[in-house]
Amino acid sequence: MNKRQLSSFSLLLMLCLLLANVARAGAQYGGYFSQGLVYSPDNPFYDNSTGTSLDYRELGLTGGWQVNTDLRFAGQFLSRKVGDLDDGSPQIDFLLMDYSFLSLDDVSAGIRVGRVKTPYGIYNRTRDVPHARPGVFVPQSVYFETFRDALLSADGGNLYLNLRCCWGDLGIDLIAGTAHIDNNVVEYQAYQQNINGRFEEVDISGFKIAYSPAVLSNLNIGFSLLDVSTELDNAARISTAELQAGVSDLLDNPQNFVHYITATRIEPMLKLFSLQYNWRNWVFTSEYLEVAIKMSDLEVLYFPLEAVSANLQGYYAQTEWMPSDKLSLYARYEHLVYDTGDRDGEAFAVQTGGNPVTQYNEAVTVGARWYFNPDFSLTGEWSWNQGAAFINGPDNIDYQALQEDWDFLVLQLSYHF
Amino acid sequence: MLLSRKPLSLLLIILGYLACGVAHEVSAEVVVIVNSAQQQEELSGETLLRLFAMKKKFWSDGTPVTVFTLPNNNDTYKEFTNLYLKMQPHQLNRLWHRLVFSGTGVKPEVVDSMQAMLEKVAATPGAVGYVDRLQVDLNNPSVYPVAAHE
Repeated sequence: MNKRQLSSFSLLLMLCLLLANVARAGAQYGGYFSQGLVYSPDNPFYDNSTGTSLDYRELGLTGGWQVNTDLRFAGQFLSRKVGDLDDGSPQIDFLLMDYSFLSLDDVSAGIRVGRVKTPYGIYNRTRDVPHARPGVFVPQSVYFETFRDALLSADGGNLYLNLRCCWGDLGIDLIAGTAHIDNNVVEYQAYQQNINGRFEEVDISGFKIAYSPAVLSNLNIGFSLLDVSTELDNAARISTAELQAGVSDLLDNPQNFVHYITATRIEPMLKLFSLQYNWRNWVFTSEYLEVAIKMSDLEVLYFPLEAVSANLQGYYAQTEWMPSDKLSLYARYEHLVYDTGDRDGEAFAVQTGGNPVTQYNEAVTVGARWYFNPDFSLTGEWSWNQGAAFINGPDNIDYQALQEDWDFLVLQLSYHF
Repeated sequence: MLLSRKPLSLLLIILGYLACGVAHEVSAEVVVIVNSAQQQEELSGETLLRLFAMKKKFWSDGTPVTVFTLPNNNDTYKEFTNLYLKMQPHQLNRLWHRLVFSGTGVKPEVVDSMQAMLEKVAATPGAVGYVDRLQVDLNNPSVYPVAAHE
């Protein structure tokens, strides 16, 4: 039984346990549904055409069973239809057993095993839940919609510790596990074209620390670190004749090297600093991300090349105001640069032939959410963008045609229970 | 003539609005209740927030906390979040969504009515909830209206 089969088997086992007990005491269930309307007149957004699209909807169904004060099972099914990135087929979002081995008033600690949500920043664990944040999308500058499969959850374990004492509240989460990628966004992110082989499994380990000082308990300070690694599976097998043809092609067109990659490993190390302050009906949030990306074990036509590295930088600042129980208004500024040594993407364009504007993105977003019923809300947001890094990922768009200046409008109806 | 009446009508509108506001204030008297086994507890605003944010899981005597809440379209729920927690109802809902939809915690148990809230808190050791004392009879020896700081 390989690693993937083993994790599928244990997830299935936990699912059976959970389903068998949904009607028992201590069981809770819930869910959410959302339908979006995207109007993107300048660039294609999640699919290959500009204009209006209704191809953005999500359905989540959650169940939990508290066996006793120490033991709990929880799971969630998720179906997402997002343009050409996600086809809506149901997936297990998380399915876990949570065992709390230390439960005191001021100290608690435990472990979650199964498919667990990755602790990363303020919004990652609930990035798909519309009512769990302001806005339709989580800030792309640090949460990368295209990489959600890799960041969302992992098959493994999550140790947690919560401490409370005179100097404040401290929470520590450790995670180790394997995430699965169901599309080829990594290839398109790195090379803007399909290459032989796939990046399918992502090994993740890291931690998140969150702290609220006693003197200012409405302030939350956080730091998340994720050490990520993925390698190219089923890379090209190249015959001697193809090898010779490849070498002569590369002599004339060095940019074609991506077609001849026979091995590579991508290892990003993410460091995310988070700040959130609640003051009455205002919430101020800012996060700053640095990613050291290393591409190692790179072979082109079986010829080993030197490791390549780049430093990504992303940040955002966001203000939300909730003037009444029916209304929330928000504004956000954000900025993402894939390589701080190549802020305008020109070096990327020379090396890969890709579109330089896909290497950075600056955006201003303003929006409003109307809770016309406590369980229903309608959100509308407008975003002005310069640079097209937020569009990277889909495999069927014309990257060369992406425009630097582009805007989009999103309306989203959401319901939760 | 019309002009001279304008300030008067404006004043009447403002007074009317204020009167409604005052009437609104006195139409509910939300109190926090705990199961009488916890009656020694005095709750600060911060402790109350930790209880309803599902962060405080045990009382100081080791009894597990059980939080009850009214449906989120209930006016007393809105009064409670605004008065005691200084937040909008959807802000508190968001905290619960983050726990439930990430698999990291549970949300409070929702009870249908104020009477059901009273009965649940009376019957559950370690329970905490809230009621409008103008709408229910608090003369229940198993329920203790706690001195919570707004």
